[in-house]
Amino acid sequence: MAEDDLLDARQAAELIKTSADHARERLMPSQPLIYGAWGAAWLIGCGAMWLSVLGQHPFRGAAGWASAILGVGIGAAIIATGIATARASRGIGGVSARQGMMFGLSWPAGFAALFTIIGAASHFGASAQVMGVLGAAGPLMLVGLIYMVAAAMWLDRVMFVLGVWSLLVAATGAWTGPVGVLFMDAVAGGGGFLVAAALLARRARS
Amino acid sequence: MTDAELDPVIHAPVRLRITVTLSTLREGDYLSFSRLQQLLDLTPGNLITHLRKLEEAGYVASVKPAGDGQIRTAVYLTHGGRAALERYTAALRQLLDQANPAGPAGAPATSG
Repeated sequence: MAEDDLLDARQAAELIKTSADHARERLMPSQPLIYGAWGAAWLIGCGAMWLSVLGQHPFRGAAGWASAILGVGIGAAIIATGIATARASRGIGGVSARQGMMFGLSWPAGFAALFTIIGAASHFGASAQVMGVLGAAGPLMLVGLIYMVAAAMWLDRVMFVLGVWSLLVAATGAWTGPVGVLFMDAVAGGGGFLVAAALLARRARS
Repeated sequence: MTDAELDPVIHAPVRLRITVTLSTLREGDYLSFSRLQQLLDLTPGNLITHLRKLEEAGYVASVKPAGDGQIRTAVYLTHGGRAALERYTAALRQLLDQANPAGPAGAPATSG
């Protein structure tokens, strides 16, 4: 298409739609990919931990192999999120870049504080049961809170719903005890992210 | 014949694509020249020619971010540019409605 071609109105309308879709698709990180990666990490990782504590009397805590599976899953999800975000936001500067940097830092800062606090609880004599509940419900609560605040910043309704859902699952899961909370994390927590990923992927295709 | 005049600065394929692409950024954001070039699949010379026309009309402005090591030159749509694109889309919709009064408007909204 030569640049001095005269566009008719219909072609111009087409061009507006395809250009806007093309730009949005490339300038925004894929949410189905990010939610899918985290949903899978929670489902498989917490599912493995739940299997490893099933039938423990008394409760001692998750086996090393199960924690390792969760660790690998979380590592993979962090890498997937980082690559998707870096690719989409390359070349974009200004307000979004500063917001994104502060948002990104809230994750390691929040989790460092949380695990320090859980460490203190252990130091001051928290039982294996209390540690199990805190270790499984605490991270999901933190995720829910950061999601709700980030949704307010970006006016993202799906992210807001995921935040509320995560808080609900963390709070109710804690009351199911150190074994049940892992099941809740895996199925309701991870499952919620996978449902969001599937819905958004379908919406993007239509 | 009608008050739906299409702004000639925007009404050219390359400039329309530049304007629409930049309009998907949030206000306060800018896009590096090289990323814009890659997104639109244009040669640097071609992109510069059209950006200059948009800049002359006051629709696009450029910045050289000081604190950003990765972005040398970046561009963004000014308030005037956003308003001009809205006027352009409205005029387009009016033209399409006149051409096809029975059917629903074919022109999509530019903002999402």
